[in-house]
Amino acid sequence: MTTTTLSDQVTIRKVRPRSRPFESYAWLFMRLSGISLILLAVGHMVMQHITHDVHEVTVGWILGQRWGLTWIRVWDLALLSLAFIHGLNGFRAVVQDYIHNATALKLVRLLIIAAGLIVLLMGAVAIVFVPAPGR
Amino acid sequence: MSNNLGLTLEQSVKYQGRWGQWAWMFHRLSGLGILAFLTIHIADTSMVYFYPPLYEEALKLYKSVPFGIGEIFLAGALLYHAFNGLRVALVDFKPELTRYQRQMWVGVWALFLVTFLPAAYIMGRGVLRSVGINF
Repeated sequence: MTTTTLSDQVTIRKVRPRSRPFESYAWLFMRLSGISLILLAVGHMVMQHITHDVHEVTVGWILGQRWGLTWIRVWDLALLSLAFIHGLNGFRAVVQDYIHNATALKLVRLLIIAAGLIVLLMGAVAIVFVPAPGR
Repeated sequence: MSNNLGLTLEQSVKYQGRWGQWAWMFHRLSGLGILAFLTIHIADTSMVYFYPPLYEEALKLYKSVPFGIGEIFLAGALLYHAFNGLRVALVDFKPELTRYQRQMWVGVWALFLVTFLPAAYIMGRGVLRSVGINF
């Protein structure tokens, strides 16, 4: 009497599981950042326009009453990075619908990343490093 | 590019996607508008650190009447994008909600009106006050 084992009947191949594609992460990022931005961006507008009139804004108010508070700097930093990356990725999605030349598309993507990094860095440096009076 | 644009405009009129097409189109247009404002806003705000005299000029610009009117449009674009984006995210995460897409689209506009009208009133009042019209 011979015994057959599972390994005699089937071939077992080890296949590396496919990693989650970039677009899948991009999709998830857009949803999660978008939901966070409802609070961050709308809250920012409320603070600048509803609870305070933008016409009374001075540099002193920005540095004293706004960036003098650490939680506002943290808020603005989160708002800056989430909103800008969300916007740039949305812009990429729009661009991809209208530019069909692969080389041109590559160039535009590169430009979005380069210009985006510069502007993002400018904003982040200002929020983190501008000295507030009495600090 | 110009051919693409022509084709896009022509097909946008011919394609009768009804409310879903409008939702999609408004989402794109509001998103692009917000991104344009955001880019300028990051760059000018960062001047408070990099070149303060220019920031003073930027603040003057923010208090001007055309900019004030533009910011009311910005508030509208932001609120529409926020509520419609929430609808898109909810349907993505809970596909069974697809059944209620139409009701959710009505809900988006209901939320928009309830939040935008008071905001536009308060922001518009601020713009008028800045030119000496009080009410």
